[in-house]
Amino acid sequence: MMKRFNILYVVCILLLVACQKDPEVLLPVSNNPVDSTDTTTVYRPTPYYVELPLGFPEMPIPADNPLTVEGVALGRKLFYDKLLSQNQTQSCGSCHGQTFGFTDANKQFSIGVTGQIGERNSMPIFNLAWVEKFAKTNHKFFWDGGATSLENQVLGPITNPIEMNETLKNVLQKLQSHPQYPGLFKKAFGTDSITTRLLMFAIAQFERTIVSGNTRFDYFRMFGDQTMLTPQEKRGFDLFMAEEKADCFHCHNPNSIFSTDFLFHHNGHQSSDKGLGRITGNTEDNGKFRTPSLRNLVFTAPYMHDGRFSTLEEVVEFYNSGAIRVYPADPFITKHPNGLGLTTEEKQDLVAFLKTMTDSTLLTNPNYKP
Amino acid sequence: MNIFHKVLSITSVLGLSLMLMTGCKTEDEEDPIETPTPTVEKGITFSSNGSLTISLNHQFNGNALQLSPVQYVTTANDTIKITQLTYYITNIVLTTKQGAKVNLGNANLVDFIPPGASSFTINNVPAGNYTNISYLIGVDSTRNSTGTNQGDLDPNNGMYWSWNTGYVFVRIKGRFSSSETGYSFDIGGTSNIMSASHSLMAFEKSGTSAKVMVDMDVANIFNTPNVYNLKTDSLAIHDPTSPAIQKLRPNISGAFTLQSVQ
Repeated sequence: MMKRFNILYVVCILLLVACQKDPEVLLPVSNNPVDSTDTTTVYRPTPYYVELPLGFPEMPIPADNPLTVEGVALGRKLFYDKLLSQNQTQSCGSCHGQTFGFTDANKQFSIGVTGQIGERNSMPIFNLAWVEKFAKTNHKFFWDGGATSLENQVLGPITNPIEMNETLKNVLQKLQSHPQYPGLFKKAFGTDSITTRLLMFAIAQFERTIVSGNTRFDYFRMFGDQTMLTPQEKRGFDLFMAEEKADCFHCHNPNSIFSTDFLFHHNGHQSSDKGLGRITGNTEDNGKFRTPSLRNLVFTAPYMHDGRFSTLEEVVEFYNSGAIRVYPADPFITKHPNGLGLTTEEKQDLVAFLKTMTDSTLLTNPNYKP
Repeated sequence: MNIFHKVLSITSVLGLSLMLMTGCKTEDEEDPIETPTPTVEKGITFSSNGSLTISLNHQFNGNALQLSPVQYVTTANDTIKITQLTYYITNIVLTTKQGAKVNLGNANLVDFIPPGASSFTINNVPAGNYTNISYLIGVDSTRNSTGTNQGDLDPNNGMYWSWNTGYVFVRIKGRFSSSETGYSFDIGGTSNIMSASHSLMAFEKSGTSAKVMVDMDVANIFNTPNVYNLKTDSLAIHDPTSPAIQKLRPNISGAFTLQSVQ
């Protein structure tokens, strides 16, 4: 049937063409869709399905950048390729190492390719696919919310002078003249002409596939399996949830797979870094940083936007007694004017609980390796 | 044969019949079309889909702009040199006499430094009689919230902030005073979008192409309405939240004036 239709169609076109006086206009007929039946050149990437941990909601995927096997593989290669940096000494993976929950080897600040020291602690990379959906404002990624999507986040570290310090022009030129990349982009996106957009797409695709769940806490919280937590860890969870005790749950929503409210708060730290205020220009936002996930804390030390605390005990003590309790600290902090008053045992219980959100398969999953 | 194929087949046959009936037209067999008495319409009139060229003529106090080492003096008595002038013109909107607006949706990077483009052409502008042209100096909020745009909006063009998603709408930099102190203005941020609007009523241009000549006078950026004093105002604007942007925004908008339509 389709054949018959095609023949009719061709006849129509021939009749149309026959009316033209200039013979040159016959040439474009070879580009007519009817003739483009050569299936060998059609771009058909393979859909990529991420295996989701128990209880995780469906992964939101941007319509213009679906996950494909070819795209994810390309993004993974790019993520670990030092070619992206100015002097070919660092890749994304250099400061986001899998064995540290995709952070920088317990360092407070990362060292850039020119030896410059960073200003904020390297953020872990997992479960980022859901941030765009749940974060309510346009401030989605980075400690200060400066990137509006996972795709847009990609360009920050590459071009930041204190990180990989490379221009996009150079990156694209290096990729275009590489023996493999043009072919890999062709497989992933149907074109071997490498653009900024496709570079962003590929790396974002790989990053979306990095997920972490299936912790003891998930089984306890989502499926009510009481055997998953020890009595001490359960006491810690109760403190976590108690308004008059540790009071963590407002920001670190235990019902969120990300254990965050996807917002920005001033947590009572003393630091000159403006955080979200640098992005919005609103002085009310000065000192606010994104609420980080509490998953895999065991691997991602040190803590806070500036990596000021190297242990969870220090973090708990900060909220217990160290935070400033006046403006501009968040009301969640200032509503405890005299601190939290946790006992030594309670602080230990809380730390024990925090460690139940640990998924060690994140560190070994072969899909995320270089 | 499913319905879809059936419909396709019928459509093809109909199309074929129609063509056979119509046959091959020659010029003198043209259907009679109503030809109105030619009245000259004010503004730009495209009789069919037209092409619109915007040509930016960069100046300083009305004279052709020249890059460093040529010097200029501003109202604040600063002796300045210019080493770069690059900006985005997007969302050209043509308005008809009746008030209907056509947004051409363009995004063009204008770069005064050779080989940068100081003019650009938009094809397939719908037919109509247009009496006003306006445009954004900068990038609209939708496209300003992502770097995955292509063409002139590719972040690769260097007019993009990767730490705070968005484009540099206008970049102007150079040196001033005998000490050759640098100044560098990167103006952007969704809320800082600028625009210009010009009436086309003083011109009568009809056909299928039009060239809109716009003067862009850099002196205005330093002088009018706000006097920008490099000795006391910020020398570096690299952040959409910089307060100095507010001083420059009206000056930049006012720097664009319509010169002629050809």
